[in-house]
Amino acid sequence: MSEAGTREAGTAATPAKKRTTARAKRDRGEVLTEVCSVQLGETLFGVPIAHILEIVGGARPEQVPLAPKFVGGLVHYRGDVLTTVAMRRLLEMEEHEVAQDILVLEGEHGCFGLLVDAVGEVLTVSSKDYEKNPSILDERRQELFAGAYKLDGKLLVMLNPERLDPMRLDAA
Amino acid sequence: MDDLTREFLIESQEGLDRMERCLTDLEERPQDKDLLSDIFRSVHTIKGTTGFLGFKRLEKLAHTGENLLGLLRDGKLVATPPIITGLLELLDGLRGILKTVEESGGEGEDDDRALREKLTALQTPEGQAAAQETVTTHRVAQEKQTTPEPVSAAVTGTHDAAPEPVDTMAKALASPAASPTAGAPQEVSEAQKPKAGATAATDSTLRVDVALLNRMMNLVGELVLTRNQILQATAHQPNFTLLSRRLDMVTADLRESVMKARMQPVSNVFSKFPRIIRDLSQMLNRKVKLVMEGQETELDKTLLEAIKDPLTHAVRNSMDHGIEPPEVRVAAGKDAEGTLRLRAYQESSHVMIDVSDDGAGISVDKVRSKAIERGLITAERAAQLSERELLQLIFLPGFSTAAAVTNVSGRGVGMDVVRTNVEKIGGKVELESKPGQGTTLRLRIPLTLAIVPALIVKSRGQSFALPQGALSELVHLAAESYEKEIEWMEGAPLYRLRGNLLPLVFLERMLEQSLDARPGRDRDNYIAVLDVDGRRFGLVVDGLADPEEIVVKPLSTVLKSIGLYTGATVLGSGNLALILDPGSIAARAGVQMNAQEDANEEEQSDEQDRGGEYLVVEAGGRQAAVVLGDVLRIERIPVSRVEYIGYRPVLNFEGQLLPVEDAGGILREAGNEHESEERQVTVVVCRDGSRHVGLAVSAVLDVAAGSELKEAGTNRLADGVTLLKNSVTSVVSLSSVEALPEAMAEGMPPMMGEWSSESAAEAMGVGEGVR
Repeated sequence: MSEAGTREAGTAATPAKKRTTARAKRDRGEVLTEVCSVQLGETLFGVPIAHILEIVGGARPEQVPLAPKFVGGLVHYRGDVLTTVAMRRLLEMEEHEVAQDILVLEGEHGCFGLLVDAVGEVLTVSSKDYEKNPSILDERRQELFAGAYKLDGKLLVMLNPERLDPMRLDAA
Repeated sequence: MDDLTREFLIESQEGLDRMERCLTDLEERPQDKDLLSDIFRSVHTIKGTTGFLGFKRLEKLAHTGENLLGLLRDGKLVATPPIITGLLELLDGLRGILKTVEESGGEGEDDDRALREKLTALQTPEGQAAAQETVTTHRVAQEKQTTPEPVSAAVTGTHDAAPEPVDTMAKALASPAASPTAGAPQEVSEAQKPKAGATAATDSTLRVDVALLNRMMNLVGELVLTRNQILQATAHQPNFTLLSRRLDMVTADLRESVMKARMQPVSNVFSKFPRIIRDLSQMLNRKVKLVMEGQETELDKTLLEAIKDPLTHAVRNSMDHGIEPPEVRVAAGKDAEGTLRLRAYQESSHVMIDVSDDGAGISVDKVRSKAIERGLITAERAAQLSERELLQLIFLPGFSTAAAVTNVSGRGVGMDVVRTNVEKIGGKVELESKPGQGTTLRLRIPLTLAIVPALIVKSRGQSFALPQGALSELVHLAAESYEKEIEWMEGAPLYRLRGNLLPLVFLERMLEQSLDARPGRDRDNYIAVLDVDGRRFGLVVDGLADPEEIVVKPLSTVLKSIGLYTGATVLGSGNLALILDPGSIAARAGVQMNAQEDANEEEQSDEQDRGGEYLVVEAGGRQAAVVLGDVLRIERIPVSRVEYIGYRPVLNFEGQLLPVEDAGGILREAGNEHESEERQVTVVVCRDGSRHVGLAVSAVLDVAAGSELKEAGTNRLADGVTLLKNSVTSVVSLSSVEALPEAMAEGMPPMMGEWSSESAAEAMGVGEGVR
């Protein structure tokens, strides 16, 4: 599967090369951000690691009947019960029956989990490569995405952690 | 705000609370020196600290109050009603400033001049002439009987000129606001005895932040969960048995200690009522005696906070609508002074708080017409309701029978607030009222919020926790009898439970796990019969697991807003389970109060005192009854789990030994069949006082209401038997199940007590004889 591939790549040469180029450009007043990458279907998504409290692997969330569609279920996290948001459901993608990784994010109304297939490598990206959301995206995705970084041969689509908060999603 | 100020605020608040309690007591015992010095101390402490912290306004007010209190304490003044009122105003003034300090950090504008002047005036004979005279003469009269003090000489000297000493003293005693016993000689002498040990507790106590206690409670909850998981995981590993049992015990002890640390006596809430009653009785022109019982009963701090408002509402209601004005009472042949009783007591895992008055009671007719008038119910529907149901109407939002909206109550936001607030914390409100005799409102509060016993039910492979508070019984529905036993009335499923139709709710359909119109046809089902505020219904689930003590974890707002879940919990298996809210399920399924069922219950509740409900069991071919209230649970266990201490069969339940009474010889019989090790026996686990005992039975037959039997001729109530479904059945006496030997080390097989197998079988046999 694709996620396995991404993880392998994390230890390979690509990030090291990227880091050196990033460092070289720092002198010209660019901002560098560390981003946790997540492969989902054909798209590489990113969440700024500053927003991530913890990554929990191999979770099987308990489903909540009657919950809004985007809710991926509940997981036990450090003595609390964490509501998760399923990326696949949010983006109306086909669902998988395998154990998934959870990014624990801190929202305005407490923590929540972001349910993804698998977490990939941590990338350092430069503000120089950043572009805002293109206007042709549908409304929902305009809300959820926060622009993209142009990487070698692919795009890293940034997720807006504040927009992913179940409270916000429910209101939308 | 700095720590010092915060500390000061907490301390002052406590001091003022104490002062309030003392002041209301002082009204009854104006001579009590302990009370006076206690009040003096509270105000003095505030004054001292404020000076140090630079709160000038507080200091000035406290100082004025202290002057007055000083005179009182030294016996130069006696606390008359005007003085007490003045002191209560001082209390409110100080509280007001403290609140401002808490909110803004500063003490706000100085506007207490009037209050200060009043307090100063109260110190002088001019400002308080009449009262002062009384004081002096009273003093004089007393000093003559007791050993004179230097002060007394001065007092008598100053006020020797008082005109009619005896007369004014008599007036003071007769003054309406003074309690009838005030000034009575024996009361005074008793009051003047210094109370020892009143402040001794302070040295051994420690102030702890509630947040820390909450955190500890959470962690203990986690530990309980981990323990549950470890117990399940190690159940079949003998080398872990001792360790896990120890873990079990330590966890239980720890849990209890932390829970105890959060407990506070209800007196913390009760203590504000004397003042409220005092103010209200003046405002409403009522004469009310407040009786408080069980003040030492303890309750979790959060719960105590949560019941403060409902209780105040209830008390206000009793004062305004319950207890009549004195003239009405006298005309009705009652004592002019009404009694309001606040009673707290513990009943197993609940604390009950009764607010009862001996007032007019609630008129059912008035309730009915009012409800119709306010459009809360239609006239046709009202005509169908029983009296008990009609009484329940007062809990509807917008309901009020008060003819006029008063300051105190009548806006129709009282009782529904009481009910919602109490239900929010998992409690229940019950109401009993007899016209002309009074009303009792009973709040049933769980001991703790965080950990509740729950039954784990399954629906489509998913586990859900069902709080046991609402569960009244479980019915097994075999797959083959599904068609026969579930009846349909145009799509509405019903079950005949002992002749009455019970509306059914299929959990999987409610949760939209399946869209099948008649789900679960081809499998075994269980009906959990639930009773939520008089609404009875059966929740159909497809599986049951063991009951567990669950730790309630809050849900995120998104999931809470679904409305069917009150929280989630982690089960012993490590899986998560959502906690179902029976009330919301009933509401969503449209279950209404069932008039017929209700009527039955009413009958039963009349019998409750003597008759009550029984679990009918069969043991050794004979029927016997167990008081249903004593039954904790019914277990099916393999015979091999029964162990023996000497001749006594015992069961090891979660590390605790349970003595099992084998009256019908079921264990003996089952134990003899060596070839069938998998043979299951049924054990009814009962509560007998604080211990638990098990009864081995061959089958559990039914739950039925019994009625009392009287001995022919003497008309005495017959003990140990009851009339169940028209046959005389013996009631198993749990207390006669012999206790386990105290120290195992003695190793002697315990003697069989009076409740030997033989005599038990005989006792159980009564039922058979009559049948």
